[in-house]
Amino acid sequence: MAEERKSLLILCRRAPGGSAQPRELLDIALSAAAFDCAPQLLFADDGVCQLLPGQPFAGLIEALPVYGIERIFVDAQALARRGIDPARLLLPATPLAAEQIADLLEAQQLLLGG
Amino acid sequence: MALLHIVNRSPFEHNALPDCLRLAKRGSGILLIEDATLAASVAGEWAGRLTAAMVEHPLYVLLEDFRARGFADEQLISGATAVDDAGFVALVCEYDASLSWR
Repeated sequence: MAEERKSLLILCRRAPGGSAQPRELLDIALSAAAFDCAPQLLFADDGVCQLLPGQPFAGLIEALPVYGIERIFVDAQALARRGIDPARLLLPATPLAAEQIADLLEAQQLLLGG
Repeated sequence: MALLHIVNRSPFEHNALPDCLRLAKRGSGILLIEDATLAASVAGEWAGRLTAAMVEHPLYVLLEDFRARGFADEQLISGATAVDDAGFVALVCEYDASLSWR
């Protein structure tokens, strides 16, 4: 009997344009989606900049729903601290307060952080 | 048990520890390894915040990494649990899941 699928969340905390790490985490997300285990993505800290148009892999971010990655969240405080208007984001990511993020993290069976 | 947060970045250089403390749910564990162990110096400026955090979270410190950064065992913040590599593995098994803040 097949094992029940586990909930997976990937926490993206690095800005694009610096290291290759942010892009690598997204590749992992796409791989998981290809195996029918579409992860939830949470963008926090400098990682919220990955959701801005004009960053190097903006096209990939925009395409995430095509690959079945539709549950995308963003740390509202991280946006506010950087002066980013949620209306400018490439995707309709759900802004979450700290307590909501704490609950979201606790609800996962697998977490991958960056 | 709950989620184990694993932090390896120095709070003097990165935002990983402050973000982890802000977003960790009450009752979840926090394990400091590598440069993050710098936060656990009893006389350092992070001692106060970590002491406050220990009201809500068990705090673990990989002692070998703390020592490797020049600190003596008695400089470890009180209330934190020192762990060795085997203890690290045991924690990861004890908790339901773990999340690395890199």
